Amino acid sequence: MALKAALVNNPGDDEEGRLYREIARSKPAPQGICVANSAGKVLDWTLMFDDNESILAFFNYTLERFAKYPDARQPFSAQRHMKFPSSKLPDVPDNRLVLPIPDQHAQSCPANPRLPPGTIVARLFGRALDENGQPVADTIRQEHYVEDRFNLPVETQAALAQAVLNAGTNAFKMPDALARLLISHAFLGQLDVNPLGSPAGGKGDLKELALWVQNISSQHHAPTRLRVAGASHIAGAQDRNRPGKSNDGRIWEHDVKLTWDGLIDMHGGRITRLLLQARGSEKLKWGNPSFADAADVACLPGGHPIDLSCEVHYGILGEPVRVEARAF
Amino acid sequence: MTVNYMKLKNAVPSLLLLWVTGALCAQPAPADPLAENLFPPDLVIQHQSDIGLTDEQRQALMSEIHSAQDRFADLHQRLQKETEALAVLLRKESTDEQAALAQFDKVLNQEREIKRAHLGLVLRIKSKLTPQQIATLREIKSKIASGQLRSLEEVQRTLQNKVQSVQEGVQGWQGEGRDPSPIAEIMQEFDPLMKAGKHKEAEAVLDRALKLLRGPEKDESEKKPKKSAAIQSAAPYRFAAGAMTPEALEAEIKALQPARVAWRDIAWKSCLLEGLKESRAKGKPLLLWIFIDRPADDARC
Repeated sequence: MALKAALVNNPGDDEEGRLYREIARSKPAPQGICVANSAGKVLDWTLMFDDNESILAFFNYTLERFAKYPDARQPFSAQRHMKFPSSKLPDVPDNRLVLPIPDQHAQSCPANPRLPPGTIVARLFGRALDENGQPVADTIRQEHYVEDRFNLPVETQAALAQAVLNAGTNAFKMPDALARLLISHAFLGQLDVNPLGSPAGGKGDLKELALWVQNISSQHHAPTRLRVAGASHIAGAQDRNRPGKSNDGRIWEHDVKLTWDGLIDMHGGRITRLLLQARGSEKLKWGNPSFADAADVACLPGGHPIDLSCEVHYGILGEPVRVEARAF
Repeated sequence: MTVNYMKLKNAVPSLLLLWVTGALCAQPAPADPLAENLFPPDLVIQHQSDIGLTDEQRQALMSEIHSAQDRFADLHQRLQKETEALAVLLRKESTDEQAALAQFDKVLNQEREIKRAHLGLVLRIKSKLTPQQIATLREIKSKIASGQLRSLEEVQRTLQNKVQSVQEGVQGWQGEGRDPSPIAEIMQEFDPLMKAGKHKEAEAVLDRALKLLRGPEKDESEKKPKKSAAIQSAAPYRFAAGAMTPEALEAEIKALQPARVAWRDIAWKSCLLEGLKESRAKGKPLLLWIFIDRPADDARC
């Protein structure tokens, strides 16, 4: 059973929330891999592994512990590792609380919150291209292949609809909030390298944003069809004016220049389909002296060194959330 | 370094998968000792330039494949005939068991013949390869299995999508009264490359055609990087002249998605109650991936 448990860091106050809190009670950090038994009691935590072989060793070890403590009948401590198996943290003793596990959610599943009707769920796909202009075949590392997901609220769509009305058939600049939302996810790599972000000792900057829209609807199709074209340039780097405490030693430079084109279909004040693609170039440097020659799994919190400079291709597909669908 | 936010998705998934599908399920998937030493013809042809296949080898391979195709057609016809005969026997209200089993043996014999012929073809192809080429093919198979290289299916899907994009683009040009002959000229190179199994080169041809169809998108002045950190351009952007259909655009975007992404092989759940219920039912532990407060479903981490 594999579970992405986002709510460990943000539990509710009901019975289900208390189960999350029990898991969170022993967490060494707001992130990590945790193995729990069928009562929701934590057997082991780890943030990293000594090497690839240690991953299987960790799983075998936790399977042994699960065989011994499959439920809450016997007390046992939650074991914790910063790095398995070499760097162990103090155990967290059992609190002997046996929490009831509800058969169903108090309301809807808190891990799958419902989105307001009309919200556009946008999925982004990004590929690094090789010297022949082909997508790099590796799809494991996020600096080569990235997927992302974001939502366009109905208010943002309404602002676009109003701008369409105002412009008639003239080209107009896309409302800033929507344009920023659309371009801000188009970058390769993990969250920390977001060129618009402001990680420790760094600063991202929007150098250029010009997405233009034109109503190209004809009488032949009912929805309003908008053509989108434009360019964006975002860049982030360590702020050399802020050395020292705020910088944990990381090396970070990220520059993304893209040319956009696409189509947006609208019906009334709502987007019914969004198709955008962007091509351009991207440079990304990421690292830290502490990475040294360690295996990827030995420095999971910081990631691995990246030195990328290539052409890129992004695509965004957006459609209204289905009534029964959830946020993710 | 302070504890930063985890990049588990980057490094761990394929290894996690080993546990989730292996130790956790207590049914480790055994490596296929036969498959790992055999190389299907389409794999060899697809990677002919990667393994340095000579013209002579290529001709010999194609000759083997063509003769095998005739043999397979014949064998499949016979299999179909025997299968239909079995179906006739089974359709009766009262089936003669001995007759049905005898006919079933005939079906199995035909299937055996087909499998035998397949293996024969694969072995004859292998015999024409050098040890170095075989080693490279093993490496390629391993990379495909781990998602580092595109599989033949993925390459074919990408090609289909791009062909569709080219077709849509040409229709768009025609709709605008533009002359599509430059695209047709480029596309003349496509078929021979596909027939020769040179997929990479064929894809490059499609990319050239698509680039031409997309046309110049910007004024020269707009291509120059802006020196100031201006948020918006002063003048409206110039829209590309070519027509853009939603179908072609969607196909192009979807072609960015690989057929297989290793971390998708893990059947992640997000509901804790569901996870605990299944843990109890199956007598297995629960593996939790906690990543700040993000669901990290199909979003980046």
